[in-house]
Amino acid sequence: MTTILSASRHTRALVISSLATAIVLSAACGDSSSADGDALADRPSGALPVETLTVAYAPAVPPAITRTTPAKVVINLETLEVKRRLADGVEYTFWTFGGSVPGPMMRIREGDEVEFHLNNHPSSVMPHNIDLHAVTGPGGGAESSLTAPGHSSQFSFSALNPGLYIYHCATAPVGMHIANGMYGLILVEPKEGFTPVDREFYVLQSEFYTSGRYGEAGLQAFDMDKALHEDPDYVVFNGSVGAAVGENSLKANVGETVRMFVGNGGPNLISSFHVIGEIFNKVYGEGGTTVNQQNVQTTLVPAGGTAIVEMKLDVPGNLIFVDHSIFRAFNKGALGMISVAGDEVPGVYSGRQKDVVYLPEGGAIQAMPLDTTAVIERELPRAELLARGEAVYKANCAACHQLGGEGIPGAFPPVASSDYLMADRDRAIRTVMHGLSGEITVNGATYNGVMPSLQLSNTDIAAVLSYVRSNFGNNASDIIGVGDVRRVRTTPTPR
Amino acid sequence: MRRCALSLTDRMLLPLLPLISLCAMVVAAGTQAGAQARTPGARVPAAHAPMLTVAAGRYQPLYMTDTPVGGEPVTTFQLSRTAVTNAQFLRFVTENPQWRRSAVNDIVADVSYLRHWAGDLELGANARADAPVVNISWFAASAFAEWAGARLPTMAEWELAASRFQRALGPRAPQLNAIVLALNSAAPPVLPAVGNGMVSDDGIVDLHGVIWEWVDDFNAVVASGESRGGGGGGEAGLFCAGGAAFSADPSNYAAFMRYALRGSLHGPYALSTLGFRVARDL
Repeated sequence: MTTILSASRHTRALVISSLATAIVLSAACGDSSSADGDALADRPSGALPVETLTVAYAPAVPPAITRTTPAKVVINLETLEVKRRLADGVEYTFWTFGGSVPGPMMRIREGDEVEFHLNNHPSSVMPHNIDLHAVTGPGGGAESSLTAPGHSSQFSFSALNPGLYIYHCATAPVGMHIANGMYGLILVEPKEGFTPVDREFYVLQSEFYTSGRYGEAGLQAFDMDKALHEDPDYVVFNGSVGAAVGENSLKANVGETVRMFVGNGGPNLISSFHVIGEIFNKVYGEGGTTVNQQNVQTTLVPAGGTAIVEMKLDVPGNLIFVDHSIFRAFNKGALGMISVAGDEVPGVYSGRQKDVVYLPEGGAIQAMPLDTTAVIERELPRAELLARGEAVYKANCAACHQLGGEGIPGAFPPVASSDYLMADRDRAIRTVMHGLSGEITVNGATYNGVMPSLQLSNTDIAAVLSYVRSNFGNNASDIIGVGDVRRVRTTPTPR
Repeated sequence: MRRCALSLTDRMLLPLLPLISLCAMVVAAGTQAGAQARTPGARVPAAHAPMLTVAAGRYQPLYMTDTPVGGEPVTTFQLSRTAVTNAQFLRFVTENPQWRRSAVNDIVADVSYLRHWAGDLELGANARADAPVVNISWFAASAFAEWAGARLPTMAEWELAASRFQRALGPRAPQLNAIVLALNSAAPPVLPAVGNGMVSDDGIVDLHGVIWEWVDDFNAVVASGESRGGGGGGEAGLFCAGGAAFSADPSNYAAFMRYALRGSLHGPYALSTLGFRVARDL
């Protein structure tokens, strides 16, 4: 009894000791502990073999684990704040794990001991931490990992429960850290492993709340009100609109079996994950370790949760995967693609076999919908232009630049009596069209903010600029015409 | 009233550091004697921006523990109009060689201390003379304040001063939180000059949007909070929803950011987005 106790203390000391010490101690006392039982089933006595984890970035998945015994796994993960593409023409300042949204996928084995290092890049503005849902302990690691910019935190945990888990930043305000992109997947592979498949993919859904509407070009800021109302502008797979379509689509071949590790970073929405034109042969519901359903069309993936789905690809073509809350797919970006190569399999799916005339009303001429050709842009008379400009200004500009154009000192520059505005007509047009960020000087004061681009028509841009340039103490005698705006829009932006 | 500003770890180091004041109270006491001996105002250029009076008020902490109803009273005090600049800090290290980058003890300033400067006494391209000094430890900021005959503001003082923008924002004052969030979203690689930001009702500039700022009792919240299970104690973990559990205003994201940042700090830490300004009793 005494022997066992002292030996298990030994083992415990080894488990928590540092890498170098562990190696030294294992050499010194490997023999004495070799015959002992241990509370942690099948964890060998003495020091565990040490390995540094190799991660994978979506849609790639780290390779299956070939080890049959536990190891001590050292994980290094960096937090980094980066400006990146969210959609074509749209940028966002993402807060990331590993410089990527979603963060990298980590794959460890049930029973592994993990030494986790969270490194917050010196350029970060914010402190960050990590809550791994695979961790049993306060905050899932968050309590031990709040890390200032330019610092590194370390904690250790044992992977007690197998399954597919979300990890995310949990620094207050937690919703904002998640909404800005801080999440990823950690797979704790069961001891017995998974059944082999031909391909594995990592797909993660999440949503973004931006100051501008979907597609509004330029750098977009986080919008707290939209987040509180759970009303996102973007719902995406793998971090941006189009991250898993076209050239970036997931590639597979006819006849292959595919396993998808699906995560939902949220922060708010539950996903109704569906692959158009396929049926999940197996679903590990909510990312657990049991196949709890077969032949499933759509499976729920909770916010802050996961699912594992498997399917066999019977026919070639593009399989679109969506959040079947379908407006998210059609209007907000929640759409990806599995590109299946191979020969047609007519017995399973025929393709189009016929296209013939269908005339339920007989042979008479059908009523056709009206042709809605685009509204033709035309120059407006000065009075009409200025009246329209005033309305556009009040609707789009006054919130920041104020009704009288005086702005807010230190935050939003004035457009009243503005030397910056009046100095350059084309620059003014470009600013309203594309937004502006970086340092500018207006009437001798420096501003260093971000103006989002406004999705205004050429006519509205001409109107609002003509209005502002001939009001608020700006004494322009000329107006800006629709033709001026069209010319600027078709001219490459000077850098 | 002022809480001790140092964590346990930091406090254990103190016997080694005769130059560093023990606690904010000691800083304040030492300040008065030092200031008289040095005849304030005799120095040119000034060690820091002009001191402006911040009117007394009540500060509602983000985390309510044993705070009186209506908030914690803060008496009238003085705060420097802008943050301490690179040029001003250069003068300090010139006169106090022990605070030069190559000489400073790593117990009071980590390896990032003044790392954006070109040299011990040379600012270089990444540090405009008129920009706020950053990469400054709490110890260095405190030593500067003492040398300048001042002290660091307390968290209550700083938060009170940073909450008053009625004059600048008018009817938009209730949206201060959202405006600050927008300002906090990015940090330029080279910081701009001080004095261009929003002006508070007391005339204090740049409180939001340019840099984070040290306060004297930066870790008072974390150091005093025992646990989440202890009946509403302290910072409630500052992670996950725990951060909201005891908050006076769960939608004040800008304040959460400041509290989280303070919670991640220790005295020797030097961050590229963290500077300071000085305060004084009236």
